[in-house]
Amino acid sequence: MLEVALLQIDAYCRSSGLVVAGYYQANEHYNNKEMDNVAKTIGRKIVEHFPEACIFMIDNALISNKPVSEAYRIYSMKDNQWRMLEKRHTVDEDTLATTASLLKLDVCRKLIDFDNHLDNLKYDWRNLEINEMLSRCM
Amino acid sequence: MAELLLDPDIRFWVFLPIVLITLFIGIIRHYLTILLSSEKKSDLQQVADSHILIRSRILRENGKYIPKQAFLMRKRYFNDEEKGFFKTEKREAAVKSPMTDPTMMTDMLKGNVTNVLPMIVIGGWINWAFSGFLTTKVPFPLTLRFKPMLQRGVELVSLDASWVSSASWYFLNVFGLRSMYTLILGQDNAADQTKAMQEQMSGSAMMAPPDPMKAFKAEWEALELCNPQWALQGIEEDLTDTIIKPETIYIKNKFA
Amino acid sequence: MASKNNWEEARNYLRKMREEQMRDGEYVVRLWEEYLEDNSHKLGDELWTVYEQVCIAALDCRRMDVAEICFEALSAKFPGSVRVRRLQGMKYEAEERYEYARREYDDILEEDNANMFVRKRKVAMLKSQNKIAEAIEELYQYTKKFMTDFEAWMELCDLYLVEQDYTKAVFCMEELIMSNPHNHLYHQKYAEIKYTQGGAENMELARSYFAQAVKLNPNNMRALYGMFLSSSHLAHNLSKGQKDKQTNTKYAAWAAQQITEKYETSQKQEQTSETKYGRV
Repeated sequence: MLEVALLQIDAYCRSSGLVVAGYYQANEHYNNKEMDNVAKTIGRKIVEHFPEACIFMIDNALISNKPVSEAYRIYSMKDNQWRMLEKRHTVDEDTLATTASLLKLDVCRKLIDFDNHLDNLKYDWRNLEINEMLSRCM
Repeated sequence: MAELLLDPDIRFWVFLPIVLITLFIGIIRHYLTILLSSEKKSDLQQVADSHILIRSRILRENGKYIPKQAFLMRKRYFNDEEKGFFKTEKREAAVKSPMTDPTMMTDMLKGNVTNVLPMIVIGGWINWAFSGFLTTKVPFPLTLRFKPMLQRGVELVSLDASWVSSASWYFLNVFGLRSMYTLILGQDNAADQTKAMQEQMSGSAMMAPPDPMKAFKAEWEALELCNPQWALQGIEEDLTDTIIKPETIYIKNKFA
Repeated sequence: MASKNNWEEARNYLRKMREEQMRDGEYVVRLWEEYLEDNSHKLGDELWTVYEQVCIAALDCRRMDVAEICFEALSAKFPGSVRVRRLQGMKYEAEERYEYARREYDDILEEDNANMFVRKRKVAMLKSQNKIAEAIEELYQYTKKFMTDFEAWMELCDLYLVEQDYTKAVFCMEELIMSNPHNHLYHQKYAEIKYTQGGAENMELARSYFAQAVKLNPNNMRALYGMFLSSSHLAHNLSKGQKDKQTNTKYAAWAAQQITEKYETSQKQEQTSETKYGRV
């Protein structure tokens, strides 16, 4: 199903001038923030289409109800290996403020991913409503 | 037969007391059984055996839904001449006679004490205390054959069979109040004697049969005979309604 | 927000969650705090089952205060009960005091060797410590004794998938299919594992099982996609001959047509045209 998702999203992106630029994963186990084989394989696939792709491995311990920047580690492909990039400033104040307001509204429960879409085709994985909310907040 | 008129006092002093006594004894019996019941300890070996038998049965029934290879592998696991499960596992035949098994003995004793003993005692007491009374009349006429049943303790040859004596009224209550118990105590109550009596008659049907070896042998034979056809053969054609090509028709006939 | 009728609704919803085995810790704890905690005396005998349910939900979202209240009430009412001791073990697990939890479970198992719930808690404990290999071993021993516990087979399959041991995962799925041959989800998952394993034989099996899933539930999108992908894969890469290639292309085309129809009937025109899937 991952294949299907990637194919569909890729087709959509190409038609809108977008590109799949990365992949984020949060492991089931609370203390585990290592990349596993699945992430590596998917990352490799994405890099084939977009060489500067990054993988974001979420650090579960840093996730909370309050917005925190850098709750993830960033990996990029160098010499055929995934290497962690040093901490760099990836989000600015506006983003943090928007995230805060969205978290208060519990918007995360309304997020639709491709899995939800496969369960019920009416669900739109483009999440247009949330996109609108984001553009209004920013 | 002249219409008999009963003393209205009988209604209050015989009829109702017998009903109330039976009801309360039943409820007390229910709680007593709960207090005295011992926990059933399930033996790991027995549970494992019953699971295996169920799995073997499922394999026989639904084996056609998994690939042939997978089915054969499982069949070999159970039935292989040298290493098959049903061939190599030996179990002692656990003879569950009450004499040898102390837990069974105490269980039986408890069952007797709570159910049979009170019935006899109370029945005897009512017979003594309320002897000679006619309590009620059944609203429909009955034949004479019912007289000994309904008129225990009252030996009157000329009495209409519809009249019920106090002792028989007690027995009628024992059976009749079953549904009342269900209302008051909920399902599965221990005051329900008839179920206990039925259980005694039908013999104990335990989860794992008393003789696992026999069950294993039966399963082994059944599994040997089992040779299912893979159910998903040609399913894509069924689904897509494509025209069946000549080769596939030939293959289907081969196994027909 | 709490009104007289709401506590009844909350109670009914909790009942429904128990029957359908739904798991939403946060929601249960919220219902408990808002409506039921003050009205607990109205629940009667159901109170104890609700306490157990809320305790487990609170452990799920790490609300140790709520869990403590429920647990104390239960252990006061049923001292020494195996079920309450199991909750104690789960509390230790939530506090990450795994040694205490393991000791508690071992004690229970000494008294009652055949207690399935406690054995499964031991496996869950190993899983939460990320000791996947040991969890697999423990669960494997469990299934050797309790062969018809399908929850266990499902969990074992998932554990094997984490370790990417597809052959063993396939074995587990076969057990599940046999237990419930008309469940389209089992067939679909089995087909997905076969598809991941790759190879012509596995791909053909995958295609058949996807087809079976579609037959059992024509609305199963994953199965339709799966059938499409497996048939096209067979047609383009693994075909054994011209006829074979033709059949597979036909199956792929049929699946594609089914998918298009489903999209057209359930989505708005604009949504479908924008997210039109690329024809492989």
